[in-house]
Amino acid sequence: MAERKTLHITLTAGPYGNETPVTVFRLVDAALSKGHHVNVLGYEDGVLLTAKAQKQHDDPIWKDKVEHHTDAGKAHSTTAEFVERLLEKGKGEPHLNWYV
Amino acid sequence: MAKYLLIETRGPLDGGDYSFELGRQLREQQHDVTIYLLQDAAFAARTSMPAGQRLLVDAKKHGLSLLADGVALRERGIGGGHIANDVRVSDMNELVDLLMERSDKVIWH
Repeated sequence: MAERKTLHITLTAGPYGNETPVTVFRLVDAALSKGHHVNVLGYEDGVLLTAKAQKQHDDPIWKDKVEHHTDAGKAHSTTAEFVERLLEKGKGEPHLNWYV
Repeated sequence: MAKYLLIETRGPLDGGDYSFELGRQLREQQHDVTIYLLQDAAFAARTSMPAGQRLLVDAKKHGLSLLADGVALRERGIGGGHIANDVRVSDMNELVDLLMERSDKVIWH
């Protein structure tokens, strides 16, 4: 493709407070798939999105179903895990930089 | 004349009229305007929501192009005949194209 463009995003929303982080994850994923470089700056509560101290949590309702528990590997991914996957996707060309 | 992309994330009852009002003013200055309805703004695309319908009628009157995020619609149970005729269902691939190739100025609200 022609010279790559770069999408710059400043993200101030933290984990689970609203829908914006997931929207940005989707946007970054699509931009990388289309061959664009991406720079993300996590700012204010956005710095918490990549906190490795986050732990997966079980489904809060279906406690009796083993497939909904972390031990079965089917629990909710943390935002840090989402970012980790995106960084893996964007480790080459096109490239993702995630700053905090 | 510039091409504006207005990304609206708020619902019609929560300040989501901002992009519609801004878009109307930009159209009056002959600019090309596309509004992308994302997150709770997808409620504006639902045929049975009066507050959203008022925005859509005004948008059509002023020549605003309306796209709604398909995932946001599905998450809110808005599909089939419940999506207003003047709204086209879109996705992140098109939003990236709009951001990177097809717009001069982008405002995220």
